[in-house]
Amino acid sequence: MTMLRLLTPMILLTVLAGCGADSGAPVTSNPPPLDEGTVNYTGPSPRSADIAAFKTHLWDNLVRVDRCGACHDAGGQAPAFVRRDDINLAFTAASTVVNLFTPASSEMVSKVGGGHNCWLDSDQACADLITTWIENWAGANDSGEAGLIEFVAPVIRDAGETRYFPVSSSAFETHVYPLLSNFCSECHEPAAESPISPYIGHSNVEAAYQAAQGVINLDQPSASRVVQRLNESHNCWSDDCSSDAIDMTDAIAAMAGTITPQAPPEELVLSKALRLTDGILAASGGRFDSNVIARYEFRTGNGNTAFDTSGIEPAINLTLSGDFEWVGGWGVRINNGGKAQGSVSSSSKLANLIRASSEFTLEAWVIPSTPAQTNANIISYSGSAQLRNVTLAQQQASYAALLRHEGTSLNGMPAMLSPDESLQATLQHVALTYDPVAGRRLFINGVDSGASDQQAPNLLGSWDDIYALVLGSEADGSRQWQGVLRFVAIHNRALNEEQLAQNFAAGVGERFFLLFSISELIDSPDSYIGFEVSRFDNHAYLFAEPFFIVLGENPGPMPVALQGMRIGINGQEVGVGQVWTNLSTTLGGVDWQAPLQPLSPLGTVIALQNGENQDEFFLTFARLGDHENVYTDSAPLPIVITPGAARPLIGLRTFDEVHASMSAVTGVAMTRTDVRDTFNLVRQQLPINEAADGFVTAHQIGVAQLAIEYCNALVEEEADRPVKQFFTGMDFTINANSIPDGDWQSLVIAPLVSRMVGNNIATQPAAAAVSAELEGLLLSMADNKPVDAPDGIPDGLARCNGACPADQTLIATKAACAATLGSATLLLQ
Amino acid sequence: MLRHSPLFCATAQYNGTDIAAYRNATGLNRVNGVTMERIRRHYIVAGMIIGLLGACIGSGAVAGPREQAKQLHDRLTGTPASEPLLTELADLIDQDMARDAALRAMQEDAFYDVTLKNFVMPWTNEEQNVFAPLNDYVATVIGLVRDNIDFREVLSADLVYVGDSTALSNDGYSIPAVSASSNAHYEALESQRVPLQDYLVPRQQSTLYGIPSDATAGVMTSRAGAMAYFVAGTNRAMLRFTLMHHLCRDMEQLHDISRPADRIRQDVTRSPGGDSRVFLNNCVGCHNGMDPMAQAFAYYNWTGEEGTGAGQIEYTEGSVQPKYLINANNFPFGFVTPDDRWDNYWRSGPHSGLGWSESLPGGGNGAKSLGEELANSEAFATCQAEKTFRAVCLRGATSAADVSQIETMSSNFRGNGYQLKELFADAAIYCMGE
Repeated sequence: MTMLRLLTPMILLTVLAGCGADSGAPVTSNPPPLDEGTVNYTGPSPRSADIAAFKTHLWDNLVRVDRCGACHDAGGQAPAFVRRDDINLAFTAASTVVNLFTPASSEMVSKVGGGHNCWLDSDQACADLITTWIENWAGANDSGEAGLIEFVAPVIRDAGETRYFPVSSSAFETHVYPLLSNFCSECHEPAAESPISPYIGHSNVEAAYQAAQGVINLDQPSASRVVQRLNESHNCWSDDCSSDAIDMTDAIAAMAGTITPQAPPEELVLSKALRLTDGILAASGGRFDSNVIARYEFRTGNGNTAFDTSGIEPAINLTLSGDFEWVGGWGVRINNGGKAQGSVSSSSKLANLIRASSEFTLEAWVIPSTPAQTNANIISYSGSAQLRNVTLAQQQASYAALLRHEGTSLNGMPAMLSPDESLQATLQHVALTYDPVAGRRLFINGVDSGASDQQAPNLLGSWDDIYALVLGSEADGSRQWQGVLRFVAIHNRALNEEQLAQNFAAGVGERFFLLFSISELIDSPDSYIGFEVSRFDNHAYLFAEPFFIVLGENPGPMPVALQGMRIGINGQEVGVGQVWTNLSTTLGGVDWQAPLQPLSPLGTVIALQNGENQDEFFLTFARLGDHENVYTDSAPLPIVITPGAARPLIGLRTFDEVHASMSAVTGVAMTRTDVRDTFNLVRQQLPINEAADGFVTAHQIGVAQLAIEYCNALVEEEADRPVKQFFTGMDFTINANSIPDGDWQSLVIAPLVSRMVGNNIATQPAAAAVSAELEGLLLSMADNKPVDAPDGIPDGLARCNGACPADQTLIATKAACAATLGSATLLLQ
Repeated sequence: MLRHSPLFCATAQYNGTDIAAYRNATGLNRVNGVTMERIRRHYIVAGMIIGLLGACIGSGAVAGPREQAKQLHDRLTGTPASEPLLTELADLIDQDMARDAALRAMQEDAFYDVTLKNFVMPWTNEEQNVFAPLNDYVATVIGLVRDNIDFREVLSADLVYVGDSTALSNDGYSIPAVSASSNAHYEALESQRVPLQDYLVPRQQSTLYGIPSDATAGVMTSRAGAMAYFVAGTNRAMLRFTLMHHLCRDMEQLHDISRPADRIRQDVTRSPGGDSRVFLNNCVGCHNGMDPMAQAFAYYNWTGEEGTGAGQIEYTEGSVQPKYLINANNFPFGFVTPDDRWDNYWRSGPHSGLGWSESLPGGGNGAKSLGEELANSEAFATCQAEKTFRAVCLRGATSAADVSQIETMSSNFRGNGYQLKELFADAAIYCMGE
């Protein structure tokens, strides 16, 4: 065995080639009766500090008869790792089932995680607790050093031999369910006297089908967990366990026979294929958890309990209620009405332990559903919306910290907020720390957010122990938060920035290393391209940081060209999210770096298809060594201009065009003060575009206003000119009523029509018709207006009973001008 | 033959009534005096009737040379022609010299000061506000058109048009000096109604704005362009709006989830709100092509606060702007921008149909070469044709004939040195009536 340290990814590895799995577990006995009594050790003293640590962290926790002590004592079931007579012998026995380099890989952990007499409702929770205790024993968490990875040769499987579970349960119901229903439902059924998951014997065949998918291997029926358990003599239904296992294998094979495997195209240059479950568990160590007093990893994946795996008694196990759902890759999504709540009695350990230290850290990996939530509790130790010890909440795009101490209210106000937009609707690591010196601090992704506590810090003696720990809302359901919780921890110390950065770097969730064999392609044994792979969320996997590795002692791989690497799943290359199609590198040769050669710092998300126990991955290459596949891309889409619906062929003049047009036809400068001011006033009221069907009344009002302004300027300028330029020959000093009709027609109406309407333009209004209208406006002797209330004065503006007012000539001219200028004859183009 | 919708006639009939209501309400009548009420009544009647005449009488008219001349001039300048000019244009049209008539009409100030200005103004700000003040982006396009410069230069030239300070001063205008940190020069040109075609002169952008010549990229690195699209954010806006206004395609039209995702930056979450399907079905389809292109702007920034108008373009040669590296923890395995190398991923796959130039490599460093990549595409030429057609004909294509016309205009544009005036002429002739 050779231990090597990797730089990227940050792991240690042991290169093992050809390691096999152990087998042949003894017949499992029934769980022992519960006994809550603790055990006092009276045997020989530990011979070393390591043995003393073993006793403190692992033995003391497992020796209870309701855990392992009833069976694995001296003279009981081997190994006797909790024997009470001699801690040193217990240490020796434990060493055979514990892996201190990768605690999660310990046989003790996998055994209990696989259903061996877990003392909780969740096998996973027991496995997590034992992992925690082994980690504490190993001391890895204190140093913050990453765990060790043992890279072993994976299963060699050709891609494309994949069968996956059909949507319909009919094949399952026909071939497999009869065995499960007959022989497994006594325990693996939720209505059983002592129900044990998975519920593969569920009375509802659909539920049984869903549960069985995790323990059936369609490609290798004999490797199915339901078969393996029978081979381990787990509750066989006949006297011959091997025969029962064969029956189960045959049933699964018959079901698999009804499912057509998908084969990848022949032209692909393929690696060997792997499932996520073929991966090597990456160390999840590296966290600083020395002072953790409650921890939730949400690994259970089913049920309604989030287990406190801190190992600190009493465990504050949280009951999930309302609208929630488990998230793949560890986590739980809190929807509207959902929450996770602990009991008041168990939650009191928070008050007890934190009051004593007067400092704490609330730490979580979260994905807020949106950045728009306000007064939304993420983690809260409180009694109501008015009474709390502490709450980490979301306040729109900020995190909020509410904390009760002598300087704040019983409701923890005023809150401290992280900077705006520091909260985002993506996976974030957030931590609220408090100590009586520095006060509250909010860290996001391992970095101090910069928010400062405006309240003088104080001791936490005012904390109540009658509140409950609640995630996602208050206990009464108010202050609802929605999003995904992937990890929550509470420490009774204020972690420093370095420790939080360490916990951030350790990441969240279960990660694997998948080693895709390329030995056949490059004619070199034990050659792999590895990825760090994990469940990203309910809908995708994360593939990251590929590397080239050759197992064995002191490999020196020859150079091999690699170009264009793609990920395939279930017989097909993935169509979305490929990030190594442009990769061009050389494996081995001068680029080789022992123990492995990083290929890329990138990662990508790959859509989940059939579940992490079923999806089969492989790699393809545009070129690898002598193998090549020429990829062709999809055909180009030509530039297409699509005709729209019929539109008017005419349009409006827009604001500037109206302004410029009025200036052009009147000769009044656009810069003239009153004209300019009026234009600026009505500018945004005028048409903004030419669309005739977008014309609204406000447009015309603006046009009229500007037309009046222009005509006022025009007539005033003309009146001041000795020699008229527009109304040639017009004398504005003559009383309007004294100017004959002919002069009005030739000196005012004619130039207006000529300049503003134009002559001999068939698309414009007929000049005669416009002139007639203007004549009516100026010269009518009829008395019809105001309508229904004639005033005894001729309607024509230039006609009065006797002399008109002195300025009526100017007014009448301006009116005739404005009527022409502000009309559609100018507005339309 | 002109035609229009009945709706428009109906709309025109209501004008006078509403004018009365408005003026009564606001008291804004400037034709004051004791007879105001009567003036108002008559004006309303006349306005209404003449409105009807303008809208409806013309609908049955046949377009001869004078009518064609009027429409050609109207559409190119936004203003009615004077009688002498109308006669001149009509004569040219009558002699089958419609193109000369169009070019003659484009000599009018209004073509530059009204039509072109408002044609370009929406390109210069995110709100596409046509009421924004005159700026160097608009002035530069006007200058390019006036000087018949290959319009592809609009996205790559070391060029900016400014008012000729000497000439302006000599002619009595009071215009502040052009500045890298202020738009006052252009605002004064506009407020004083300076005829732009007479006073705009070309200058080197690099000299004026203090950035290397290689870092200039036409209007993208103009002061207005930088202020609008390099301010705050991540500089992706510069690419998006340039594509919108110069290739006539927003990101939705360029969506393609099949491109490699290797250049999508770390700030793009791969699981928005905890749901990676959103990324895999939507986000990736734009960012996979956008991010490798927007990398061209990695050294650019706008120094001022958003919305203040203050600031100037900043170029940090060889040093990636922090905005390219923000929110790295949104996806730590995303792309980390090391430089201003850009690549056009749309050269493969469905969007290769945009007609990228085979004489260009499809990748490079910096905004200038990216501008060349965009401006040498077939989509760029077609976009200019579509825009001018819409500006002159006052509508988009509504028939196969219109589509054919736009395609012909695009082809002519590419074949005749990318002269924008030619596009305007083509469109004006096509839409001057038959």
